[in-house]
Amino acid sequence: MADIKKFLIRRLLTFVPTLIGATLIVFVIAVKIPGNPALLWAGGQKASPDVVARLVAEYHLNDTWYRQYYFFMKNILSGKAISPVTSTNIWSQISTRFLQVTLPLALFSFIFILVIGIPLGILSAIKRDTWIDNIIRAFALIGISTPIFWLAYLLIFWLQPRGWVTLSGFPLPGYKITGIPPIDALLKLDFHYLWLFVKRMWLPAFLLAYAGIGVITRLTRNSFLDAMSGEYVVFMEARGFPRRRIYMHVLRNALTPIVTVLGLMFGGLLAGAPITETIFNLPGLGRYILQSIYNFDYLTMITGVFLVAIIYMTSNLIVDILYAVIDPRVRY
Amino acid sequence: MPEYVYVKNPLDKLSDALIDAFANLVDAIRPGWKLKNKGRLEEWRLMMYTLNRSPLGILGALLVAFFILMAIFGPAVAPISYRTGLVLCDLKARLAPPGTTITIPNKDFCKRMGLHPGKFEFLLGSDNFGRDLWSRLLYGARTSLIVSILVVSVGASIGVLLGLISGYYGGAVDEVIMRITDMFLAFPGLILAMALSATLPYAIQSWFKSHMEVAKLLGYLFAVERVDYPALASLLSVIIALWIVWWPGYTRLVRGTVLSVRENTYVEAAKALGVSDLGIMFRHILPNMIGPVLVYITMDLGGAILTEAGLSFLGLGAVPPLADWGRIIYDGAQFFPNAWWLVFWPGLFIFLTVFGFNLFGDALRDALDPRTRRSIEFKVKKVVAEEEAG
Repeated sequence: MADIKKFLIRRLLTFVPTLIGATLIVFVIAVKIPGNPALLWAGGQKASPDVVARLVAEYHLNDTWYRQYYFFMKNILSGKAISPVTSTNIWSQISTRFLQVTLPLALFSFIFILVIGIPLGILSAIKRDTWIDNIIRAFALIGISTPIFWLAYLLIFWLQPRGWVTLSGFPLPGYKITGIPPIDALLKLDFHYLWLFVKRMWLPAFLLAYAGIGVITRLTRNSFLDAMSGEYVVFMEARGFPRRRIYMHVLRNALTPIVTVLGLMFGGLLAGAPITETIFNLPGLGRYILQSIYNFDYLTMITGVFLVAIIYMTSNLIVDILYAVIDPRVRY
Repeated sequence: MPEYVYVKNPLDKLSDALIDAFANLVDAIRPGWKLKNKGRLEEWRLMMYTLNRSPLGILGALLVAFFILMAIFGPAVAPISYRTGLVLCDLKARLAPPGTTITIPNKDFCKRMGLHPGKFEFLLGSDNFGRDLWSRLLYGARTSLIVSILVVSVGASIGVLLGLISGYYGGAVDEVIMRITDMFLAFPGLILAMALSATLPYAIQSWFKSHMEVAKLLGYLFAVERVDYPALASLLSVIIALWIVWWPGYTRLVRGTVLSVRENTYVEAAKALGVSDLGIMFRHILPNMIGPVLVYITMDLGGAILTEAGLSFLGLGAVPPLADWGRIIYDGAQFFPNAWWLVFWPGLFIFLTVFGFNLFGDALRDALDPRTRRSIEFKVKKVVAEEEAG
């Protein structure tokens, strides 16, 4: 097992510089690119000069770039950063919105992708070149070509008169265990809340998952077909194994690239969230980042972006480690 | 053995004619090229036959061709400019459903806007300013096409170059380039594009105002009238933001492919013959890994259109009155579902265009795969032998 430990250490060693590099990018975007952020934070052209001066002093905007960077990171990582525009604690706002809305949305989408994408891909591979295969392949291709903001409005137009979806407000249970509402409700077996949650979130989650389903279906199909061409399949057929058992073995081997892409896809779901949250009026992290952009609140925007980046990097790290655990050939 | 009957259908003959015309053209410029590249031309012919045999690929090619025609000739063919709002002339022009015809009265301010008295039909409807949706979609096609071409070409060029250098030289150069690439890949694409689009417009605004020739060039490219040049700064910042987001994907893709192509014997042979590093990279490694990259580029053109429309839908892209498909949906969503056409038609065009690129990319992947070409070559040679014998 020393193999895995060495791999783990090497992988973590590459994680840290990438993280630091990401913070540099974040700093450049939020502070260096907008020439005079203090002016924008203070309210634009009509801002009074002493407010601007106070902001410049508070955020060290006149120092050398590495001092700016130091104070910038200290501010963000302290958890006590106050947004210069809305005067609220950035971290508490971001963490509530993320845990309450965006994370459940991403998890729900993920479930859709798993439950719809993988079976469709397997079916498409098993029934290769029949009409079922062609329909599924067309569906997958449509999935990656459709703009979410178009399909969303079409589906809303179709489903809302039938009452299949709630489009306003966001249900919150009264209690709090983990801070993630649907998980809390599951732990307490509160099915009434879960029903409200599903009614509000199933359409946004499905739309967010739509492109991912297309990608996973195609990937599962190709991966399954690749795995089926192995010699062990011929051996099993010659020995008279029933088809179902052969497919189970093939599936286990086909699963490795699918797991990798699924892990990366979770970060992609977080990226797609702003559009979905805007259309459905969900008070989540994506829409919060957008609103902070409209308010020129770059500090909040960049803290939100930074959180998303950290989650994305961590999920990539977990996927890499999982991949190395599953497949011993990958331990570099 | 079943007899495979393989007949060259008219499409095949057309592709043959095209390839021969191209070969003759190059031969006229560089004599002897046609003779030297007979094998390559044969491979191209087989690639075209493969494409012709995929009905979905042909559908994709038709959709892409239609989009390109719409983008190039749209602004010339559009019934009216993208910024003329007829609502001041006739109140019925506000949010007119598709197919409404209005009569332009013989008034002075209508004539000053460039509207001559007579009838005007809103083919696909109008928005709340009375702007014709069909014209705006035509101008928007130009915007989408140019933005996606600019983004993908620059992103792919930078990415492929860096990937080639990184994969070929290895060692410290490879480490540094991959670290930087990973830094950018730590952010999901759209989020980084959003953050950049938020801050870039203010950064380049002053630069843009002092460099009006850039504005003129962009105005010519995007068919934008002179009065709207300041709005082009937002479009330029979207393009720059997408450049920054786009290049890491190509670097990672190319580096992986180069690492495997590098191990081939012909590379070793080229090195032994004394070919320079650059020569090996561009004349031996690059042509042998360009297949998957070309397929990726084709589908990426669709992806760029989708990303740019997404940014505009969030309000971070082109600023009105510039016509941009995503922006039209953003402006029109508040009137949904009463003025459904403002959301339906732009979205439909985006979908059909991206779908076309993806279909064509899929067919291209099959065409560039040597194994499919071999199977077709076998069939063609059999038929040709029979024709000569019989």
